[in-house]
Amino acid sequence: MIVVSERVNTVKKTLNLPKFDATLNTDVCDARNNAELTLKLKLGFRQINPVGGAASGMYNDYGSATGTPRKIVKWTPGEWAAWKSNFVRSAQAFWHGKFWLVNQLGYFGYKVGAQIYLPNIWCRFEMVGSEASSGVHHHVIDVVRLDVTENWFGSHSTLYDSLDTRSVQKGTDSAGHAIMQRAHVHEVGHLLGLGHVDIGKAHCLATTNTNASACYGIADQDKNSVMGQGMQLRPEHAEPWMTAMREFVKVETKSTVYTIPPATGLQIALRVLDVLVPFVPKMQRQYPRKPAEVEARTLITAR
Amino acid sequence: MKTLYTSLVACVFGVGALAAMPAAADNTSNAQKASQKSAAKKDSKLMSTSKKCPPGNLHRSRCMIELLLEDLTANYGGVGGGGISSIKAASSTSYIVSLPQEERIDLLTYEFEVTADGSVSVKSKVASTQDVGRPSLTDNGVKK
Ligand SMILES: [Zn+2]
Repeated sequence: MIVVSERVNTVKKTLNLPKFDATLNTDVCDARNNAELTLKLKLGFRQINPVGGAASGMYNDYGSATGTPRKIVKWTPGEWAAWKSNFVRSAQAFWHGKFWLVNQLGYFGYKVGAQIYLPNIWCRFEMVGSEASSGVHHHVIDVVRLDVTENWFGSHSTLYDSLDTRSVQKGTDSAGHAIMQRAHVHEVGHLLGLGHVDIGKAHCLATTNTNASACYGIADQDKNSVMGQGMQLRPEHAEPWMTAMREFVKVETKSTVYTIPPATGLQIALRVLDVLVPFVPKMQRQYPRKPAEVEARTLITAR
Repeated sequence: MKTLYTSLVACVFGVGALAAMPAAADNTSNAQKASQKSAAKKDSKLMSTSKKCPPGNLHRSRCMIELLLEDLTANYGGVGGGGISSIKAASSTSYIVSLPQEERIDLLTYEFEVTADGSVSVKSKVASTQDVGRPSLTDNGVKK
C-alpha cells in the first residue's frame, strides 16, 4: 500500500460557486493519481404539458408569444423518467473526465514516502437532475414533449424539447459533410459558463449579439466545436474547471511540502504567464510530477 | 475564457507565440476572414438573376419573394432549424425572412430594385439575429 505521508491541509472541500458547486479532493493523490475537481450542476426539470390536462396541444417556439406553434403531447411518467435519465447520463458522460489541468506552480504538494509530488487536476463532472419542485437547483429546465408529427422545436438554454438529446445536423463543413450535434450537450456548456466558439473574433464581438449565426463558427474547425455546431471538445472548454481552481487557490492553505523556487533567466517571462494562468488545460492524461519536472516544465503523460 | 487565456498568452509572449498554443490558434484563413466581414453586413453571395414581372403589386411582390427564395436555397447555410417562420414586407421594396434556429432566429433583410419596365432584382441582403425567449448566458456568464 502506498503511504501518503503529507498532504494539503484540506483534504476535500466544496465551494458553492454561482454556476455550479466545485469539490476539490486531494485525498486521492498518490504517485499516479491527481487531485480531482468535480463540478456539480444541479438541474431541476419541469414538464410543459398541453393546457387543461389535454392529451395534446400547441406550444410556441422559445416559449415566446410570437414563436411558431408546434404540436405537443402530455408527458407520461415513464417517458418523463426516461428522458430525464437519458439527458443526465449522456450530458454527464460528455463533459466528465475529459480535461487535465497542469499545475504550473506546484500547488498542493504531498509526499509518497520521501518523494514529493505535485498533483495535476483531473476535471470531473456530475449532473444532478431532479424535479424542479423539490430541492435547490442552479437552473430550472422546462421541457416540452413533441408530437410524433413534429421534428423540430425552438429551444434555448433553459427550454428544451424531447428531441434535444438526439443527434441532428446543425451545419455543413466546407467539403459538404454534415456537422451533427446533440443540442443538450451544447446547452450544458452554456450552463457551465461557456460561450459560442467564435466570440471575440471580428465577426462575433463579445459586445454584439453572441447568438448570431457567425458566432457558431465559420472555419470548419470552429464549426465542429461543441460550442459551435458540432460535438468536439477543445482544451479551452476546461474554463469552468479553471475558474473553480482560481477560487480554490484563493481559499486553500498553501501546502508546506513544496514551494516553487523563484524563476531565473529566461524562465522569468514564463513564470509571469504561470502566475496569470496557473492551471493549463490539456486533453491527455497528465501524471503527478516531481518538483524537478514541474520546474523544467516537463509534461508527464506516462509513468 | 478563451479570450482571456489568449490575451494572457499574447501579453506575455507577443503575437508570435500564439501559433504554438493550440487553444489560442486562429485557423481562419484570409479568405474566410474576408467573408466573415461581409457576413456581418451586406452579403456579397447573392443570386444575380432578375425577374421580369407583369404589372401590378401582386406580381411584383411575388417576384421579390421568388427571388429571395432562390437566393435562400442557394446560399443559406443554416441547416437543421425550423424552416421559414415568416416572410414579411418591411417596405414596398424589401422583405424580412425569419428562420428559427436553436437559441435564435436568423433574419435576412432583402432590398429589391424595381425598374420602370417591371424587372425586379435583389439590391442587397443583410443578415441579423433576433434573440429569443429567456436570456442565454454569455461567455462571461452574464445574462443578457
Ligand atoms: Zn449556444
